[in-house]
Amino acid sequence: MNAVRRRRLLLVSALVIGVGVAVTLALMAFRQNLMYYYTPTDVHEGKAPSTRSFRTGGLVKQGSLHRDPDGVTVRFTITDLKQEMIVLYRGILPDLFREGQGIIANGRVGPNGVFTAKDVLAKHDENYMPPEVAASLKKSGAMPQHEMVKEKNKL
Amino acid sequence: MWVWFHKLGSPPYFYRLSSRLLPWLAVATLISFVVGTIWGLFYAPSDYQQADTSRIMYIHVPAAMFSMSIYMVIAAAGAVTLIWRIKLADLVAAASAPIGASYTFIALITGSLWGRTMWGDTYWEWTDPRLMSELILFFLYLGYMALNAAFEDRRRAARAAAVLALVGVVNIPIIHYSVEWWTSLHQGSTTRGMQFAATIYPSMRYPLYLMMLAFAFFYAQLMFKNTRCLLLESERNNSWVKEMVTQHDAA
Amino acid sequence: MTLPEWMDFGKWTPFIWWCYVVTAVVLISIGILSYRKEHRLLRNIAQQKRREHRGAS
Repeated sequence: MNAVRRRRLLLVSALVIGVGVAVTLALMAFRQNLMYYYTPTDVHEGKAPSTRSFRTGGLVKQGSLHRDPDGVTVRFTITDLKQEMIVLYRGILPDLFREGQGIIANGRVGPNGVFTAKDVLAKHDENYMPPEVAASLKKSGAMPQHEMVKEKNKL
Repeated sequence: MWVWFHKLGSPPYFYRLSSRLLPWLAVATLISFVVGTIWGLFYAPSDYQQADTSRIMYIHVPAAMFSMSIYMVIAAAGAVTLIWRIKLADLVAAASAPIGASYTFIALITGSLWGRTMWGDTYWEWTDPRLMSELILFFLYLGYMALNAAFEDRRRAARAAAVLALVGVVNIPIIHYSVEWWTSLHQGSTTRGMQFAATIYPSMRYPLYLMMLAFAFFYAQLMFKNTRCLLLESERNNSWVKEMVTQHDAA
Repeated sequence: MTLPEWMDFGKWTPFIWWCYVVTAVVLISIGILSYRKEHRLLRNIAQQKRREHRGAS
């Protein structure tokens, strides 16, 4: 490789590395703003905004879903297996909504710690399998955990 | 290796090689698309939670995956253009961009429809990191193509576009790791270390692999076709093109 | 007559169909564009060459 090409190679590497470092720093500075949702633990630790609405997400706790007598208001508990939060919602739930399923709710948290949701979205996980396989895995207790409660390698 | 590399960089050789490869690629694309689609739509089992909607995976996942791989091809070819000034590398990059943009578009549309069915009442979430980084990839492709078209001088266009492609490379790890670094509405990646698609049950994984092959073959085929067009345009006054056209005419 | 289960298209949401239709339309159109472009270019170059021949003779 001659000198001109070596210099160009260095310039190209410098460009890619420079942009990479700059963007990494910027992303780390704005990390909180890039979070699509806050976990119940985040809310508990006071990381979530208290004055404006935000999203929270977790698994719907087994046996926690209750429907009020009016038929449209539901309350359920979401959990990230460390902290829990009660969510209150009036409206139609997504088809995928069920106990044990990951959900994301948009709304704000009241002084009593209850989260009032304006809308609720279901979050499916990365495991794909036929129903029979899921049933037998559940029976044997080998069902993989939903990704929302798995430990993630954070930036 | 270097001899082969230099030979590949020569336009007449590339043209002849692609003439031999193209019919095979066309057949491979057609077979894998037809078999993969029928397998994915009719024979693969439905998912335990998403039911039949998981069949969108067979196009969404390959399209999204190759939207990133093709960008890496463009960036690598851009680096070769900038450092070694090999003209063919620039043409391969320029030929790949519209295909990559189409794959990105398909990934965005199918993702939006899939999300609408599974997540609930939304087609698009402006604040989701995975969705936004893939949209940025789409704009990078558009910007790359616009920059290529903006210069009269092909060599200046090539250099400007290559710089843009290399700057945009930073977006690729962001797309891939967005679901791990931040919280996202999008599900996690199906890769576990070296085990690709490990979280997908085998009877659903095999048609997915086949569809990935189909998207790869389709890309290779159109990349060769587009590069040949660009070669013919830029070398139309060279003797090898004229000779080839004569043979073409006589045949 | 009852159809076999795998032919029961009605069980799928229109969204699944739309995904496949959009993908087919996009891929087939860019494919046709590339193939037609090369065909046109080769024809143009051949015509140009014939003109040059006539001019020379």
